[in-house]
Amino acid sequence: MIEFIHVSKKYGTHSAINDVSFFIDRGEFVTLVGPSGSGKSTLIKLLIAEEKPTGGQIVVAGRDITTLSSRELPFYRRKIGVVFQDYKLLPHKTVAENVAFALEVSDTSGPEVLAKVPEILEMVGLKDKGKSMPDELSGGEQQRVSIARALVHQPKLLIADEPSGNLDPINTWEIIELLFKINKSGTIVLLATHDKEVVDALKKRVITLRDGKIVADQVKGKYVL
Amino acid sequence: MAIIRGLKIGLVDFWRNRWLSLAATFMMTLTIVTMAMFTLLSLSVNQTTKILQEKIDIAVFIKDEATDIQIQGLQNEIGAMPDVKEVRFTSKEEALAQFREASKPRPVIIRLLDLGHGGSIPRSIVIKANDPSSLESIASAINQSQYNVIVTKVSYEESKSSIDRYISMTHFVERAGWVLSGLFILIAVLVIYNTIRLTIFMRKTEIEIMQLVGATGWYIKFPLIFEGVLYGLIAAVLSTVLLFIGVKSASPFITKYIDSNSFDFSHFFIANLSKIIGIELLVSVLVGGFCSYLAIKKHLK
Repeated sequence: MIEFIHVSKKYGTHSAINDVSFFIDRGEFVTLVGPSGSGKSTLIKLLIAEEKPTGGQIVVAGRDITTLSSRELPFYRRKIGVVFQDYKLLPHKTVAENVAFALEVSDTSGPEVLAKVPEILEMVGLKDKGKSMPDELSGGEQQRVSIARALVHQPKLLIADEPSGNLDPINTWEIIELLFKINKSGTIVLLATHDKEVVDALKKRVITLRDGKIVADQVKGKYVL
Repeated sequence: MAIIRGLKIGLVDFWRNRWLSLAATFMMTLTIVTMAMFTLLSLSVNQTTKILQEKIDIAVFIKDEATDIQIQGLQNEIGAMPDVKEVRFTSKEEALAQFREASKPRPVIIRLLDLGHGGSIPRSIVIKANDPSSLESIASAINQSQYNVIVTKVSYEESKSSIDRYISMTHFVERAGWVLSGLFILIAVLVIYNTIRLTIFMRKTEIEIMQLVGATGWYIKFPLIFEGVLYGLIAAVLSTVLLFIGVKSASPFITKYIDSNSFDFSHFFIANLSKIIGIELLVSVLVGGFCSYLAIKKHLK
């Protein structure tokens, strides 16, 4: 489903990603770990096609995304869901509007938006919070809204970049459980995290990056730096 | 659907940045009013010049001893000249009657005429040309003609100098109009460009999220371009109202200054209203849309 083939990314003379190759199959839950500056964020940027690699190929569902034109890019983005540490919610929109927003930009009809939004909010456990504003929610709840927004297009891949970075342990586990639930429905989850406890408890595949290179790729890995 | 959403977002942004929007719209209005005012002035001065040029003619005064055959010959020769539009002979009696008519406000002259002092008014041939600028060459052709012997004087209308004054005024109005309009367009472009740029900065997160969830470039850009076009549309409406008021109140003074009964500035404005509104809309919408496009191109990655 996702294949990195000898991918490199240089910023000037600095090499952020250096000859990285791996394959992620359908339905996998993969954790991406590594110290700051190891290249995790760059790898995610490459995967969401925010940046182009300086070498190699990135194949997603049979398509080399490094050759996407600016016209094709939005349609690719609709096939993947992305969640960030800072949630990236629109503060002047309600929870439901924040989720609906992702559907509206892809020209979904009004009735379809009205039908899908409550469904997805129920899935992330925010059924009754549709009319709340983001600042009325806890960090964990805000991250759930962000996950709900990432899921509205029913993506085959969900990328979570430090989703629990701003959360306390209880909220962190709630988010991880939610990601697990999403993964069980068949969506690939790529989780980039610093949280050793989470990684060790997950007992899922762990790809460890250091200085832009993969130093370990374990099927049931642990957080080892 | 997407267009309606885009229009809605554009309107909301316009309202959210209302003070900036107001400044941009005001600048645009000022630009259009200036351009329209100078265009109107320039057109009306042109129009008046034409009316005045219509009136320019040459009078060829005939010596008293000239025979009718000689006069007829001169008339035929003038009539055969390529640029001549009209040749009219005025006899002594007609000239006297015209002079008497023109001198009505001066009873002293009328009394002198009554006493028989009008006999010295010469016969004349009045010539009009298709193009008033060729009158000069017609005049010199008459001076070189064989019939020159029967001519006392070829008068090139004194009004020539005043016509020249009008023409140079037209040029001045045109040039000043271009310079001022250019200056205001430049300011309007900068103000609108900056307003849209600020909108982009204010909506940075929103735009980033839009891109993240798969909004097309058009979906993101449309509301911003519409916002620029909106400045133009409002400015076009405002400037039409302002111009209407301005022309209505300035019309008597302008008509008086141009000094022509056959030209009414206010009527001229109303007759050309649809054209004026059309041009205003075109200019303002193009300038507004273009500025937004520039800002988007530079600041939206």
